[in-house]
Amino acid sequence: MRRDLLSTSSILDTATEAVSLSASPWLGVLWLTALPVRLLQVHFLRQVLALGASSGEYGNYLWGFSLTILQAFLFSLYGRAVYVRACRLSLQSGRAPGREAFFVPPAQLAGYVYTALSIELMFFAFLWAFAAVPLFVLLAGLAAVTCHRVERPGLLRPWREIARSSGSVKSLVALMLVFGVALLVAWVNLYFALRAGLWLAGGMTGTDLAVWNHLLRPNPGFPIMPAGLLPALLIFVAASLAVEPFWLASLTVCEYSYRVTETGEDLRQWLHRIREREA
Amino acid sequence: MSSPLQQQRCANHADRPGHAICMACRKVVCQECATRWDGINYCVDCLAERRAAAREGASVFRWVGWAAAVLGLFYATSRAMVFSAVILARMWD
Repeated sequence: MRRDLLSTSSILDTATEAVSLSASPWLGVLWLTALPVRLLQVHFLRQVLALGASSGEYGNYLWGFSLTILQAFLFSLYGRAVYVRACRLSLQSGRAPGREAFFVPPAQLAGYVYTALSIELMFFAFLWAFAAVPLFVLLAGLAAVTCHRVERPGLLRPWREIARSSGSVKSLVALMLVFGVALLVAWVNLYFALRAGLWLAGGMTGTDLAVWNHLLRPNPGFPIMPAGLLPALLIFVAASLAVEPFWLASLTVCEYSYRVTETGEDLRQWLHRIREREA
Repeated sequence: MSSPLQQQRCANHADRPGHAICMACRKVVCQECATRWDGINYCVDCLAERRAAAREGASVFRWVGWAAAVLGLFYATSRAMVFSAVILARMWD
C-alpha cells in the first residue's frame, strides 16, 4: 500500500475539494479582509520608491504609514484564520461549514497573531536578502494552518506546532514550487485578460480608452508585464488573492495528512476499510 | 495479517494489541484507551491533561505576557518595515 496522502497531486486534489466546499462565503471573507492590507502595501511601496534615496529623511511619515498597514494586517489575520478553519471543517465533515467557522477560539487567534507578527518582523528584517522571502511565506502559511492546535496563549507552543507540522519537507517544498509558478502564471494571465478586455472595449464607440491603454501598455523589454509600476503591483495583488485560497487549503491538507500518517491513523482507516469489504 | 501496530501491545493493557499511537506521548494504546480529539488520537492520561487545560483556560498572566509580546512585535515590525523600505528604495535608485 502506498501512503500517498503526502504526494503533491493528492494534496492538491483534496485542497481543490476543500476550496470548492468552503468557497461561499469564506472566500469572500478571506478576500475582503486581505484587500485593505494589500492595497496599503502597494501604496506604501509606491511612496517609498517615489522618495528614492531621500526616503530615509521621511522616517516618521513612513513609520506612521507602517502602523496603519500593520493594523490592516491584523484584520487580515482574522480573515485567514476563519478561512483556514472553514477549510478544515469542510475536510472533516465533507460538506460546507456553517457559521461555526467564524468563531475562532480566542487562544488560537492569539497564538496566530503572535506567530504571524514574529514572521512578519523576520520577513521585513531580511527582505533585502530576497532568497529568504519564500521561507517566510511558507512559515506564514504554516502559522495559519497550525493555530488550531494552540489551546492557550503562549510564546513557545505555537512555534512547536509549526515545527511539528513541517516534517513533510518534500511535500512543502513541492507545494511552494507549484504555487510559485501558479502565482507567476496568474499574474501574466490576468494582465493578458485585462489587455484582451481593453481590446474588446475598443470596439465600443464613444469610449475613450487612452488612459487605460497608457496604464496597461506592455513593458518594452518584457512584453508579458505592464510597464507601469502601479498596474504591475495591482495585478500582482489580484493574482495573489486568486492563488491564496488554494495555497492555504493545500497547507491545511498537508498538515492534516502529515499528522495522520505520523500517528498511523491512515493505516488504521485503511485496515478498517479492508475489513468492512471482507465482511 | 496483523499490522506492525497490532503486533505491539497497549501501554496500559499488556494483553491487548496496539490500535493507535498517542500523538502527545507516542505510546501505543489499545482501542479502549485511544480517544480521538479534533481528529488526533490521545491516550487516557494525555486526554485528561488536554481536558484540564481546556477547562482551566489561560491565566491572566499568560494573556498579559501575550499582550506585551504582541505590542513589542507590533512596534518592532513597524520599524523593520520602514528599515527594509528605505534599503529597497536605495537599491532601486
